Amino acid sequence: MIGFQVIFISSRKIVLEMEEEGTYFTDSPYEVYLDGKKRMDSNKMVQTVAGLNPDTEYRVAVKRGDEVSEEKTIRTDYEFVTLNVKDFGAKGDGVQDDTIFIQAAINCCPKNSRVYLPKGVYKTSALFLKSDITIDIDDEAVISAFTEREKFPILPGLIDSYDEKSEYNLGTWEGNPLEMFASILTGINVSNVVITGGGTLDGNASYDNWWEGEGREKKGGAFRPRMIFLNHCENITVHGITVQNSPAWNLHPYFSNHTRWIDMKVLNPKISPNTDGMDPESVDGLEAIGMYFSLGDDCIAVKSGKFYMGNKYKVPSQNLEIRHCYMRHGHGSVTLGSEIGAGVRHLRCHHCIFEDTDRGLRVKTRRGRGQDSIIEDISFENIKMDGVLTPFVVNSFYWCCDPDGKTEYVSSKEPLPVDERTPKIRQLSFRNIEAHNCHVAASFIYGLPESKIEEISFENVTIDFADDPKPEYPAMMADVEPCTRKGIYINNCRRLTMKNVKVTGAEGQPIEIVNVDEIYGEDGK
Amino acid sequence: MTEQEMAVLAGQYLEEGFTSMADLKEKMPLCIRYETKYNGKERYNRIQEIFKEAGKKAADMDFSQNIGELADYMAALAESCPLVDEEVFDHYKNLETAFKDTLHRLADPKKPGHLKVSISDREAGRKIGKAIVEACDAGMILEEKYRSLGEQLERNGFCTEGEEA
Repeated sequence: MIGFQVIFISSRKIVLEMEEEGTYFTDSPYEVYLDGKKRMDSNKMVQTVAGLNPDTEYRVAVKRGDEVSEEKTIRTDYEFVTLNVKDFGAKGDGVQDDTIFIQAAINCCPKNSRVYLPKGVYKTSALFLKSDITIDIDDEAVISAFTEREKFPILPGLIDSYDEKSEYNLGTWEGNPLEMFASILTGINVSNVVITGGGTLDGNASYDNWWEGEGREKKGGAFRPRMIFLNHCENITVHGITVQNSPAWNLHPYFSNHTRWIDMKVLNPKISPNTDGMDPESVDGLEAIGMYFSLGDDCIAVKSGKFYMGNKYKVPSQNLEIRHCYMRHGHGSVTLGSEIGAGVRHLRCHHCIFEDTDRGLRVKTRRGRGQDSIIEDISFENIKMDGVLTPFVVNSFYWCCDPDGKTEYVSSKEPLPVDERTPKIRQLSFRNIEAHNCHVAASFIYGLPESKIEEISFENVTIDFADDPKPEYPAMMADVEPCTRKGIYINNCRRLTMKNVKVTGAEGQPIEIVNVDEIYGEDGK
Repeated sequence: MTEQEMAVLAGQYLEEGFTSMADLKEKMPLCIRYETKYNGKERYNRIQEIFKEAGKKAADMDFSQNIGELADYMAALAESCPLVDEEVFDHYKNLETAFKDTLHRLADPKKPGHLKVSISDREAGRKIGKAIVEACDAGMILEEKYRSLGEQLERNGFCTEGEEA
C-alpha cells in the first residue's frame, strides 16, 4: 500500500515523505494529487509541493499505477502579510547592494508574516534574521553574496560581561570562540523562523577571494563567514533552497535547538577548502531530511567545540536524525569530530546514499579531547554506498590540527592512564549497509587501548572493492600507511557483534580483529 | 634574529624553564613567537607548563611584599598572551585568565580605577601600568574598567589604596 506523511507545512508549501523503503529516491516514480487533481510527478522520498495559498485546506494523495494512498487533509499555515523586498527598495538587478533594503523588510516584518524575494539577483553582504517570520526566496531568486571582506560586519568571539563573571559568545571558528564575519544569513538568539523557497543562496567564493591561500588565515580581523549561521536559535526550519559556493562551512547551527533542514541542496566544488555541508555544533534536536550534498569537505560534521567551549559549557550535540540524504564527493559523509569536546550522542543516520566520499562514517577523536568528549548511541541503518574509499573509520589517534597532535601522548598505541583528558566511545551500530566499489579498507576502527570502544555492532553488511582501487591512508594517524583492499580492521573494542557480514575482494584477511574482549557472531558468543 | 638563532634560544629556554619573573618575561615571548611562526606550536604544552608553574609562584606572592616580581609576572603575561595563536584557544585563555586573576588582587573589579593595595615602588608601578594598558590594547581585559588606572600607573608609577585613579 503506497503511503506518505506530511512532514512540513508552511503558509505556501508542504513537504511529503513517502512511507516506503527508499534511499533518497523511491524505487519507482509516483504522482502527487491535490484536491483530486494531479499536481506533479516525483521519484524522491522527500518531495516539496509549492504554490499553495495560506490558511487553506487541501486534500493530498499520492498514486503509483493502480495504487492510491489514503487521502490526507491538511491546512496551510495562517499568514498575516507578505512584504516584497522590491517594495522596500531592493532591485534584484545583480548590481545594486540590496542588503539594507532586504534587512529593512526583515526588521519590519510582523509575526506570522513573510518576507518575499521575487525573481532577481540580490547582491548582499550579511542579513540578520528576526523571530517569528518566514523568508521566502522565489525559485528564480538568487541572494548573491559580495566577496569583499570589508563589506561584512564582524561577530566578535568572546565579550566579557561587565562584572567579569561571564561572557557573551558571538563568533566561532573551528570549535573556538573567535571573530568571524557575519554570515550571509545570520540568526542570533532568534526563534520560529522559516527560510524557504526554491531559490539560491550563492556565496560566490573562489580562490580569488575567500579561499585564497586555502582560507586558513584570519584576514581583515575575522575568519570566514558561513552561508547560514544560527547562534542560540530555536525552532528554525530551512527548506527547499540551494546553498552554494560557501566561503567556509555552509550551514552552521551553533548552540541551537530544534532545527530542521529539509529538501535542500548544498553544493561546493570538490576542491574547495573547509566547505563542510553542515556542522551542527552543540545542538539538541536536529533533522536533516532529503538533503543533497556535493562538496569539498565533510558533508555533515557533528561537533561540540574544542577544549575551551566543550569543557566550559558541556553542551553535547545530541538527538540528531539524518534521513533520505544523498552525500557526494566530500571527505566524510557523516563525521563526528574532531572538535567534540562535549561529546555527541543519540545520532541516527538512515536511508541515505553515500557516493564517492573518502569515508562513510568518520569519527575523529584523540587523547586530550577530555572526559566530556563521549560518543554514545550512534547508529547507521539502510545505507547504500558506492565508490567510498573506506566506509567506516573510527580514529582515536587523530593527529591533525592541534599543537600536540603529533606527540607521543596522542599517537602512542600503548595504554596510558585514564584521566580527565581521556575521551570515550560507547556504542556504534551499523545495520543493513551495502558498500560497493570501495578503495582503501572495508573498515578501519581503532579505539584507545586504555579506553576501548565499548560496543560495535555490524549486522547485514556487504562490502566489495573497485576493480582499480586507489591507495590512500585509511585514517589520519601515526604509523598507518596507504593501502587498498584492506578488509575490516578493528582494534581495541570491548564487545563486537558481527552478523551476516560479507567482505568480497579484500587482499589478506577479510576481517582482522585485534584486542577485542568479546565477540558475538551468528550463533551468539 | 634569524630563525635558526630563535630555534637555539627557544630550545634552551624551554628546557631551562625560568629562574625569576623577569626571566619569564625575557624568555617566554620569544619562545611563543618561535613556536607559533616556525615550529607548528609543537611545544605550546611546555610553555603552558612553565606559565602554570609561574602562576603557582605568583599566587604565593603578595603585592605588598613582592611587587617587583608580580609586576614582571603581569608584564610577561601581557606580552605573551597576544602572541599565542588564538586557535589554540584554551592556551590563549589560560594566560588571559592568569592576568585577570592577578589584576583582581590589585584592582577592585567592582570599583573601576580603585586599588586594593597601595603601590609605593614607582618602577614596579609603571611596569604594572604598562602591562594593564597592553592588556587593554590586546582585548584581554575590559578597557572601560582598567585603562585609566593603567595609564595613571604608567605615567606616575603609584596610586593609593582606595583612591580613584
